[in-house]
Parts: sequence; structure tokens; C-alpha cells
Amino acid sequence: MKRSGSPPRRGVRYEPPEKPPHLLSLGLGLQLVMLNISGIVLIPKIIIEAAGAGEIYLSWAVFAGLCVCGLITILQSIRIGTMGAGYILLMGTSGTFVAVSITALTEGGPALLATLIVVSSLFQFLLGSRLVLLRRVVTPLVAGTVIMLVAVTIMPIAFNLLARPAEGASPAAAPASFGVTLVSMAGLALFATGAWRLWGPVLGVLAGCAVAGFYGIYDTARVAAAPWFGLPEIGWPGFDLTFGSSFWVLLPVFVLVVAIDTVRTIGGSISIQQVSWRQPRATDFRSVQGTIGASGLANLLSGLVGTLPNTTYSSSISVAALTGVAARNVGVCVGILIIVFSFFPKATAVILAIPNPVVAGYIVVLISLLFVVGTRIVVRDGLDSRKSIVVGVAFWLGVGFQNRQIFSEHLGDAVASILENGIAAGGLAAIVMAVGLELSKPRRRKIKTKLGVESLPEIDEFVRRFAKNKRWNATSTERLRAATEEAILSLVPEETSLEPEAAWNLVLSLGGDGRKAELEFIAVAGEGNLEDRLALLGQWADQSSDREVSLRLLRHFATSVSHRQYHETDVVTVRVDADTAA
Amino acid sequence: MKSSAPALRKELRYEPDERPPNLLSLGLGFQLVLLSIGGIVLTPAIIIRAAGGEEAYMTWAVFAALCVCGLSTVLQAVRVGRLGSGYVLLMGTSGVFIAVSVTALTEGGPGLLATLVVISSLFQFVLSSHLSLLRRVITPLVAGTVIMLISVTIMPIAFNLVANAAEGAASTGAPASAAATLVFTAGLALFARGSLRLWAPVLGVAGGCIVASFYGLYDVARVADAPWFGIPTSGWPGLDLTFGASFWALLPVFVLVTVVGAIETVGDAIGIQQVSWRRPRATDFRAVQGAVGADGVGNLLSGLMGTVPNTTYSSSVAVTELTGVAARSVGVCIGILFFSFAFLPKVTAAILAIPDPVVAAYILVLMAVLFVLGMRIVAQDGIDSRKSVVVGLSFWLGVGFQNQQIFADYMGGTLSTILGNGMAAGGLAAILMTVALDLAKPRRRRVKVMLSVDSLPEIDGFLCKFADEKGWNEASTERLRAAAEESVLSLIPDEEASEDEEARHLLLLVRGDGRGVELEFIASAVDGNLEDRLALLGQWARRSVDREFSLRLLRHYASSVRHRQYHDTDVVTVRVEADAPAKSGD
Repeated sequence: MKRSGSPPRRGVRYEPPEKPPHLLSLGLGLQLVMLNISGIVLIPKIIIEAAGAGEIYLSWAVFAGLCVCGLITILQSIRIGTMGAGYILLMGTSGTFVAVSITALTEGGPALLATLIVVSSLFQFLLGSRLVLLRRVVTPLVAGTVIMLVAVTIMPIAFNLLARPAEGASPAAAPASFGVTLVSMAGLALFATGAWRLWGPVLGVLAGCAVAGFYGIYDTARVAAAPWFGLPEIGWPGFDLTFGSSFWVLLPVFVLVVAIDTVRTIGGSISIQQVSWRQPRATDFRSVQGTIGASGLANLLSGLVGTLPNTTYSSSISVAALTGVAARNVGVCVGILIIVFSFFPKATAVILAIPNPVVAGYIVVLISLLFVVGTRIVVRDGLDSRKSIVVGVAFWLGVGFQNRQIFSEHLGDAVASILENGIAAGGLAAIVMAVGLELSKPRRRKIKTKLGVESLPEIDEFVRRFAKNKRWNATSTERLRAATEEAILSLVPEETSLEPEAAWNLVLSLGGDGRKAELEFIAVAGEGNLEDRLALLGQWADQSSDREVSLRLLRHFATSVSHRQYHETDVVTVRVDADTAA
Repeated sequence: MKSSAPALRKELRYEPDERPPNLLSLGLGFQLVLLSIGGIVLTPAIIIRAAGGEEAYMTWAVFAALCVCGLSTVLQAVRVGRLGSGYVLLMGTSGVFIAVSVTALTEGGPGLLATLVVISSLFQFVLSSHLSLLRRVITPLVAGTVIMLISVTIMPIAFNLVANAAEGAASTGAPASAAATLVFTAGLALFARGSLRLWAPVLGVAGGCIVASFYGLYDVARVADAPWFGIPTSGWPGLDLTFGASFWALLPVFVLVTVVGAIETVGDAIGIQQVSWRRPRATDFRAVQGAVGADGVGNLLSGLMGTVPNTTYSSSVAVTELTGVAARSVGVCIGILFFSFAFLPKVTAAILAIPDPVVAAYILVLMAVLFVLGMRIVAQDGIDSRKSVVVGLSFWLGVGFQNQQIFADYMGGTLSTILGNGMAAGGLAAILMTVALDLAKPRRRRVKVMLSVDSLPEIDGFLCKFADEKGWNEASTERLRAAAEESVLSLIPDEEASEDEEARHLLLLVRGDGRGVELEFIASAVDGNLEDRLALLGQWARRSVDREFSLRLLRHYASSVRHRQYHDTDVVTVRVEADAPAKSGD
């Protein structure tokens, strides 16, 4: 096992509250902007061009998107009230929404899309305040499957970009620029080290553009025609308040995608906290909620001004980890720069002129990685044969429905348009199966007390009642009681170090049947919603360290013991088997 | 961490060498046959129907497949020379070959398929004697990606079958029977317990057939027409020895699938050993090699008889674990039963009459689980951001080429046959990237000694030379040497316990990068190719036990320490960082 006794991170040069020199903040901010601006601009381009929604709307969406991203990036850094993370978290247009946004645009135009974004952003606020709710429905199993399906829905769009070569260009132009983009992005991601890896996507696109320019498919006319400074024509689409059938059909899909994006935002928010301080500290859940709140606000604003949804970009985490600068100032600089950028049409035109094959190469690499993120989330949760069925069947049903390979002619209109979205079909299947699995498990009983020797009688009584209900025989009951006692004693801190510490709370949850019992002890310093913390920590905390619990006696009684330790939370899981003769 | 000391498996009733009563062997054998015969008969049927092959050929292929599976299951159980595992390992027609076999049939007919199966089976024999070769080229990353792509190539075939209903039947018949099969199979697999779960596929198909017959989709006439006893008279396709362009284009794809299939065989062969003995014992690699060898014989015979390739079925591992009967005689019974069923056309007809929508749903579940298996294989070694690029990109390039979405019109002839197969395109991309990544890493150096205090000077000298070459400063070198010494000392068994133990061997592997060095100590009681064993153990052993290592001193020197313990092999991985001001030697 890795033994990382959470040493101080010597690499951190500026913690969030510290103020680096302005020039440094500005320089780093400029780098972050350059790293991400292409993604922020290209995603609306892909969506709007694939939906054929027109040039005016595109320039407006890009302009408004940049403004919103800039504003919210500042909000994430400085934190106003309960909104914002208080860390450098860069916001950008969200890739997960590509497929659903295209559907919304083709079904009902920009106004429908705007309405959907506004309404679904309200769910994000709800999720932000009810993290456990989110975790119950969107388990890692469901989230991972849906993320994999997001890749499935977006990839055909990328492949489609390849099929539309510019007219009059050499037939080798598209394959060559696609190939060069792909190979240089993948090559840098595979072989470069340190900061070079971060620049992989940018350099890949640049290389692709160079090749494209050589073949004459880079749209120089567009750049030349764009003014240096100016505002775009107002392309605000307004709202579609008819709430027709396509609204109701698409809303569940949008909410699901928002929920998935929120799960990823939580991941980003926890990671940035882990790289921002010299002395590792417990994850601050108010900051996580602030991050989600600000992301919700970003989506609300995006809907109101008629651009595409956005989300936190993880590149700011890598940059903070690499440079050791986690100061909020940098985030503010990034936000300001993005807003300034939006007023220079020439600059955005340079990005918008990138030819389709290069964009395709860029998207293929990015979405491939997104797909792997999905598989990692699924696998990290631990896959047994039951979960394999959930993931596999849900994923492939999603693929089948997405490609209209499963009985598309038998489905009615409304059902068809929901199920023909692979995310909805697969996500629904995954949620139904995962909830079914959860319900079929025997219910767990719970008891909450203080962690201390004086709580032992209460817990003992609780465990005895369980054994009696399940008709365990005397020796098995004895063993269960002994294991419980040993486990608690091993969790009680030693006398010597007890003095200044806050009282610890203990939650014991107990599940099982006639043959086995599983005890989960959660000990935590301080109050707060333990299950909340646990749900989030278990999923994302990188710093959990396994350690051997004092087992000498416990081992005699228990079949298996596992101990997970987070910053201020200890979780011990003990399994006790009843005698077979019981 | 889980602390599960290797306990006695008391519930095991018969070890491989023991002889249960004949009736018990027969009964258990019959159960296993019932569990798997559906898959064995349906796989060739799916392939040949999808390729539009003739009815006579299909009847022959099913007959031949049952004969070959019976023979090779007996071979696995009894072990003849170096062929066969010596355990109950059931052989059946292989699902992973569905897509490539369909391509071979449409490109060149049954003769070409037979030739390809024969030639690629030869590679399996090479593999069985060089297991580590397998591991070098087909890393878990590559294998997992290819397995995921296998389901990508097979799924469209299932989706094509799903709406295939007999003419004149109600239009809801196909969706209803497919949905019933899917819900029964997935439902039982999700919610049933114990042995009922094993029966999920069989009961799911049975449930689907009941719904189908309600709509009149089940082909009763076929079953009625089939004789009770008989041998198909025609259908042997012979071999296609022209070796044309399509042969050469398809051969690499077949070899890739064969090799990846062999990985599953290795997994099954290790799995069955772990459930077959009361007292856990070290994995016997000769049995693993024997299993792969017998698998090769199965494929060779399949090719010669003109049917589709076969592989080990993991259901035998699950059944053995559940029933506690691991006796070889069960394997022999299964083989004989398969062989006898081949001569009962009524039985095979009952399976072949299963309507397409039911078959499609069955394949969907099967391939869905295979897909997740691929994901798990990819993830088992941990995925870092580099591996993510390899897996993600090769998977999606595979999908893109498979669906002919990536510049399909630019490629012609042979190239498009190879790349038009997603498995080949994606597998090739994965292998290329993995090999490139491996080449980009600094080379490992190795020293092999006996594990004892006497070897310390030799190891010390080796490390000094290494540090010197890298230009490490004195403090860093000292730390490296101290860490190595501590690790070796901690691996040496205590004086008292070591009396009657045989001498252990120690292999030290050293790999340095810009900032530090990674030392891997492998200590084993057995001589032989330690790296080989390790590669295989690390991938498949389920019972590896992590244990806390005596670290008091070691921790001062090393930045990370990891100790893995297998049955008779200890592996300690230690990382030592050089001081920042050290000149980086590379």
C-alpha cells in the first residue's frame, strides 16, 4: 500500500488568501486563458454548426458565453456570500451538453434551448443544497455509465465533422490535418512531462491548423473580415414559453446532464482544495456547495442571455498543482481576461476559423478521455457481477437506442424522442436497476452515539437485539458482541492525546441476515451530517489512507475487517459470520 | 484493508483427484451441460445466420462444435502429456469470435474460416509455451481495450437480430420476447442468490421462448421435423488453401482475437485452481499452460472439422465453487454428454428453434458483461492520465473505423478490411501507443541473487554503480543504499522459522527517472522465471494479500513502500527520491 502520511506540500508558493505580485497573477492568468479559450469558443461552434442555427446566433453565443464564463470565474475566486468556491476554478462551456443542446436546437431553436437551460439550472441549486439526494440517485455507477454515454452521443458529431470537407480543397487536406491534430495531441499527452502535457491540446490544435493552412482550408478570410474591437450583433434568442411537448421531453435529459455535471463539479472543487494549501486540511464542504451554487448561477445566466451551459474546467487544478500558485488573484485575472477577450471579435474569429477536421481531432481526444473518466468512476466503486450487469446492460441499451437500432418503429413519438437519446435511455435503465438493487438489500439499522467507553452498553444492547431478531445462536451472538466491542475500543483515541480534542461522534450501521452481519462504524470529530461527508469523501478524496487497525482480538471474531481513514473521519467495516449450524 | 488469511475451504467436498459416486458426477455434469449447451449451439448459429450461410453448413457446424467441445473438455479434465489443465474446465464455442467469423464467412465462405481457425490455433500453441510473451505485447491495457471493442463489433449483430421476427407474426411479438428475455436474465442476475443466479441466462432464454411461443414465434416445426438420432451427412466445408488477399487481411485480426481469448483461458485456469483445493496452494503454471494448450487443440480440431473456434467457459469455475465438487470425473462426464448430444438432432433443433429476438437479448446481456470485463481489466492496474489516452483513443478509433466513420472512402482493399474491423484498428492503436510508452521509459536493470545476508555486498555494489551513473550526490546515494539494505533484511525470514525452508531467490529490478529510482524486490522460494510468474499472478491472483511491512527504518529513506504477497512470492516496491540539487543523469 502507499504510505502517504499527508506531508506538507512544499510546492505551494501562494495559498488562496496570499497575494502574489500582480505581474505573476496576470501572467499565470493569461496562460490559463490561452489553455482554455479554444475549448470555450469551440464547443458553441460545434453545437451551433451541427444544429445549423446560423452565424449571428453563433457570434452572439460565443460573446455571451465568454462574458458569463469570465464573470463566474471571478465569482468562484472571490466568493460572495454562499456563492463561489474561494479557489481558482475556471469556468468554461460544458462539453457534456453538446449532444443534448444540438437536439434542443434542432427541435425548437435557440429559444427552447435557453428555456431548458434556465429551468434545469434551478435543479442545480436544489442539488447544491441537497448533496445526499444527489448521491442517492446519481450513484457512482449511474454517473459513470451516463458519462460513458455522453461520449457515445458526442462522438458521432465529431466523426460527422470529418465527412464535410471544404469545397475545392485537396482530398488529402482533411485526413492530414485530422491526423496531425490527433497524433500531436496524443503524443504530447503520452510523452510530454510537466507543463508540456498541459499544453498538449493547444499545441495539437496549432499543429493541425498549420497543416490545414498549408492545404488552404484554414478560413483566413473570416479572420481578416472580423473587426479588431466591437460588440456582436444582438442575437439574443429570448425564451420559448410555450412549454410544448419537446420541452417536457427534453427537460429530464437536461436535468440528468446537469446532475452529472454537478457530480464532476464536486470532484473539481474537492481537488482544487487538495492542491491549494501547504498543510493538508479537511475538505471544506461549504466551499463545495459554494462551487455548485456558482455553477448553477452560471447556467442560469447562460440561459438568460441565450448562450450554452458551462461548468468548471479541471485544467485550473493541474495548473495550480504545477505552478504552486493557488492565490485567488489569479482567478480574478483569468475572469477579467476572458471578459476582455470577448470584446475582440478578431481574436474569437481566429479560433472560429479553425477547420472542421482539426476540431474533430480535438474533440475525439477530449471525449475519449471523458469516456475513460466514466469507466474509472464506475470501476473505482468496485464492480461485482451484479454491478457489471447494471453498467453493461444500461450502457448498451443506451447505445442501441441512440443509434435507433432497437425497435425504433414500435415506439410512440414522445417515448421515442426521450429514448432516442442514449443518455436518457441508458441513464434511466441504470437508475432503475441501481435503485432496484439498493431496495433488494436488507435494510440497515442505525444508531448514533458519542464515541467513548460509556456508550458501550447502549451499542451492545443494539447489537444483541439484531442477533435476536435474526435468530443467531448464543456463540455467534457472543462473537458479534465481542467484535463490536473490540472495534469501538480500537476507535477510541488513546488517553494521552485526548485532552484538547473535540468529542467524537460515532454512527454504527448494521445490516445482515441469518448468516452474516456487516457493521459499519463511522467515527468523526465534530458534528455535521456524517453520511454527507462520507458519501462525498468516499467518492473523491484522494488522500484516504488505509491503515491496519489494532486487530489482534478483533480478528478472532470477525471474518473481515477494513479500515478507511480520511482527514477527520474513520470508517471501520467489520463482517461477522454466524455459525452455519445457526 | 481486507485481512483474509487463506482459510481452509471446508465446504469443498471433492478435490480433483478424488472420485465422487458416478451418479453424482453424472448429475453435476448434466447440470453444467444444461447451463452451457445453449451458448455452444447458439454461437455457430448466430455466426452462420448473420453471414447468410446455408442450413446444411449450420447443422454440420453445430454437430462438429459439440463433438470438439466434448473432446477438449475431456482433454482438459484428464490431461494428456502437456495438454489439458487437469481440472474441470468446460470448453464451449467462443463468443469473442462472432464478428470476425462473420467477416470471414462473408469474405470467403466456410473454407476460408476453417483455414483461418487452423492457422491461428497454431499461435495458441506458441503462447502456451511462452506465457510471458503474451503479457509483454498484450498488456492488460491492450487486452481490456480489445475486449471492449469485441463487444462493439458484436453488438450490431445482436441489434440486427432483435427485430427479426417470422413473417406473419404480430408486430409486437419480437419486442415482447426480446424484452422478456432481457428482463428475466438481467433480473435474475441482479436479484437472485446462489445457484439460481447461475441459471439466469438459461431461465431468461426459456422465459423469452415462452413469450415468443405465445406469439407463435418459436419454430415448433423445426423441432418436430428433426430426427431423434442421426449424423449430418453433408456440410464439411474443407479448407481454403488459396491463401488469397482476404486470408492475409483477416489473419492478423484472428490472431489478435485468439491471443485475447487465450487471456481469458489463463484467467479461468487460475480461477479453477483457486476453488479446487481444500488447502489453498500456489498456482500451478504448468496447469495454466496445459489449459491454453488444450484450448489450442480445441481450435485446431474446430478448424479441421470446419466449425467455429472454442474457449474455456468460466461457468465451470462458478459451479465448482458453489457445489464444492472439483473432481475430474465431472469434467469427463460433461465431455461425454456433449459428445452424445451431438448425435441427437432433436436436442440441437430445440435450441436452434429459439427465435432471433430472444437470441439477440441473450447476446446483448452476454456482450454487455464482456464489455464491463474489458473495463475491469483495463482498470485493474490503475489508470493514470497516460493510460487514459491509450484506452480512450484506441477504443474510439476502433469504434470510428468499425462504423466506417473515419475516412472510409480513402482506404481501399486490404487496408480497409483490416481497419474496417474495429478490434484490429483499435487493438493496433493500443499496441502501438503502449509499446511507444514502454520504449520511452528508461530501461530496467536487474540483478539476481540468493536471498540472504551474504548477498548484501553484491546488491550494494550494483546500486552504487547505478547512482554513480545517474550522478546522484552522496546523501541521495546513501539513502538509496540504506533503503535497499533495509528492504532485503526485512524480506529475509526470521532465524527460528527458516530452519527447514528452502533457499529463496531474490530478483532486484531498478528503474530510474529524472527525479528518483524505483526498486522492485521479488523474493520467491521457487526458481524459474520470476517476472513471468509475477506478471501472471499480479493480473489474476484473487488471493493476493497486502500486508503491513516492517517499515520503521525503511520509511526514513524511501518516499513510498509497497509490499505485495502471493502464495510463495513477496514483492516489495520501494521508491527513493534523489535530492533536488542532484544533477539528473538523463
